[in-house]
Amino acid sequence: MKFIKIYPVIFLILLLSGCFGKEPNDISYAIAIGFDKAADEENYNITLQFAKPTQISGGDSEKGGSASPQIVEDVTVEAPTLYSAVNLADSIVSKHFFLSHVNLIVFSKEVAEEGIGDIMETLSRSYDIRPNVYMAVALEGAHKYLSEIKPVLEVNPSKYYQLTYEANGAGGLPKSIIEEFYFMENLPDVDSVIPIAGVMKTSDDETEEPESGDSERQDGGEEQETEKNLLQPRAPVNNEGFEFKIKEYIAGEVALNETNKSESMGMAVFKKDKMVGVFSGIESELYNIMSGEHRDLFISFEGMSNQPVTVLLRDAKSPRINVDIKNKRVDMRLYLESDLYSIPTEDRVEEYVDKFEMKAAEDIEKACKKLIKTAFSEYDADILGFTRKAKRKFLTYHDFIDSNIAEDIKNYDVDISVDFSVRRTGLIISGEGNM
Amino acid sequence: MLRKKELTSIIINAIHTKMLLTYPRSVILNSGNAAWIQLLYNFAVALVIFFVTITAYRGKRGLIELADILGGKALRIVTGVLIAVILTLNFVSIIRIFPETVKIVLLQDARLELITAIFVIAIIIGAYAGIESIARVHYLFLPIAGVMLFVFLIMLLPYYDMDNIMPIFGNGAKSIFLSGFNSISLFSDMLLLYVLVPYAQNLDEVKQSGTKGILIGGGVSVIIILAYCLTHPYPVSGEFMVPVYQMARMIHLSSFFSRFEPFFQFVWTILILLYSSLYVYVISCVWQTTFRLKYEKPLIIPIALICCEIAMLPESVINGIEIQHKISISAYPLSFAVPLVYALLSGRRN
Repeated sequence: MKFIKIYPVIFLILLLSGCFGKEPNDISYAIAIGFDKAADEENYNITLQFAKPTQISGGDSEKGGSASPQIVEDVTVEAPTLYSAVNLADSIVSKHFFLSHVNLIVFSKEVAEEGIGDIMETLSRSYDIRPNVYMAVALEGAHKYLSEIKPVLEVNPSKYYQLTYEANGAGGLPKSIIEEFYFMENLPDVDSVIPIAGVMKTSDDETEEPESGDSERQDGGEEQETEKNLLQPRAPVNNEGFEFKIKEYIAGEVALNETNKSESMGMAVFKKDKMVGVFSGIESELYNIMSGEHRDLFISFEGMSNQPVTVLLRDAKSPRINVDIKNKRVDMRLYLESDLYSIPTEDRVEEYVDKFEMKAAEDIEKACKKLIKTAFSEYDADILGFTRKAKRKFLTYHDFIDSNIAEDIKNYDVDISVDFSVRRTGLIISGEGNM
Repeated sequence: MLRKKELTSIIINAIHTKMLLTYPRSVILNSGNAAWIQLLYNFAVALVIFFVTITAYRGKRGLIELADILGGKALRIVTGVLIAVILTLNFVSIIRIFPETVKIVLLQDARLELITAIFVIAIIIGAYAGIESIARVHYLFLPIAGVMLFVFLIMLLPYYDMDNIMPIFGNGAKSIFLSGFNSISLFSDMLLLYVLVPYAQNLDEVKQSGTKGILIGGGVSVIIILAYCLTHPYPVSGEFMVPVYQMARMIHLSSFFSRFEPFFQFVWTILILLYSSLYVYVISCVWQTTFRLKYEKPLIIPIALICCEIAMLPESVINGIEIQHKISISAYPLSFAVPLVYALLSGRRN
């Protein structure tokens, strides 16, 4: 009788403890996916960037990690959907592609402008793609951006994406993950933004033929780096008070000399699932401040000597937004505080700190209003979700939809008041008026 | 004999298990993100019905024995068959939806038949252990599940957004209070309590266990759906097949902690196995009592297999969910009416 009880246990131990299906060694882990328009308008050129575990620190090599270009490899195939691309890519690479480690989805500008609703539906329906995968729009093309990824500090490219797009101190980028984007594109009360990824321009790019939708190919990440002349960034200088004298960069224009030519800066504005415009890094900072996603960030304001004064800006409280439907008015209040970090030698901010605070508050207010106006007038997009905030003024969802406020909100007056204060001055308090 | 705490644990699990599958979606589709108000309202109505029923109930007899006393063999058989059918209909949807969900989220490469077979074997083993063992495991495991739920809700804190439950009345008062009345079917598992009366020490314990069970089970259900409404905006919230799993997927506390699903799946699977074993055992008991059989255990395997066969009738998961919705709407009035009628008659008889 005892044996009869033990047999099933032995049976289970022997048969159920193994791996059914695929062994980890049979799997290729994709870490990023890129969507470009194919020559055949109906299809996409889908780039699957996968990690080579043997090259990453702790892999088979037992020598530590390899240099970053050898860590990842790209496969580009032409296919109508993501999973048909995975199918095709499986026949190129010996292993089966597994998408649960994907950290970044990149869309080319053309794909984004045409609409990414179908792709988002696939990504959200998929059980293996995580809902917190980051998204970006690459203005020069998704494949180009991914092929230029050569992390300098990170051995693990997944970590590179995570650190770059988690907005860890990178104020010039909004945070966008597929779950939130899927929500926003299906909601009538808010529009969304996605970070812009770019590739640093070189003189070779000027003469390069535009990339056509070529057929299936495999790009080695091991190609030799050639010397290219880096172009001087062409971004205009901002002479407004907020981020005074900082250039209005968009990804691809920021770095002057880098091994890793891929960079991220600015944001693409989406009206539902279609990209409708672009904002610079400075405007992304403002967006982060107004949406409450802002973290500690160095911001330059215009000082009294017409020189930039740099402060560390942080949220004192979350922004408050109130929508007054009767008077067609949106009131936004921002609570910010700062520490002085960099002051020109001839300037003594400490002596006129009240004036400086007032001026900085005005500059932020002015810049925020300009951004909101541009979003509504040029892109017809409610990126800050004012309509969403108006929902609490209605009793039922039908009342809310019938009010047509989503269309009307762009005609509302937006009033922004900024509560800005300087808290600390670093290790120096200059000026004699502070005794 | 079942202790009071064990009986309470059974009722808590029986009520809130449906919340772990597709049930929240149907509530959301009806009343939008005011689903939590709808469930709160159902909770209050279920509590009132339970109080009326249990106050009128007399004697420490199950429903089938009561039917026997009141109407003899014929009424006993009619009542017994009716209860068995209601319980089976309540349960078959779980036996279909759970393996389908497991296939979607956990074992994509495994065949549904294999998952269902393993699930049914586990149910049979559980049911063979008997009601005392099932109740004791319920009592032991529920606190673990409670702690897990608490941690889960805390981890979701960064995702709660009050704007998601606005406008406060969702699809309107009519949806919540009229068409929303149907979702009282969540509490139709209370029928189990009246079948299990003979296993309790006395009727007072049944009353206390039932009250606590509805309060805790209903409360947990309202909290789960409120958390879902706070994290998912309407109308997108009505799109996800297994809302609780969707919430578990969204937890991402930077690189520090990002995959809560394994913990969730562990608790989820055990709760559903306990629920299913309980149901198979109780249905076997109902047949045994109805037809005055000597033992209930030989019925466990046939009943589990019949339930499995019925569950597999819908061709796809879409049909399965549709049928489940129709069944729950048509079966729940009987789940409340049968005990209420016998409770009133039992008082008159006494």
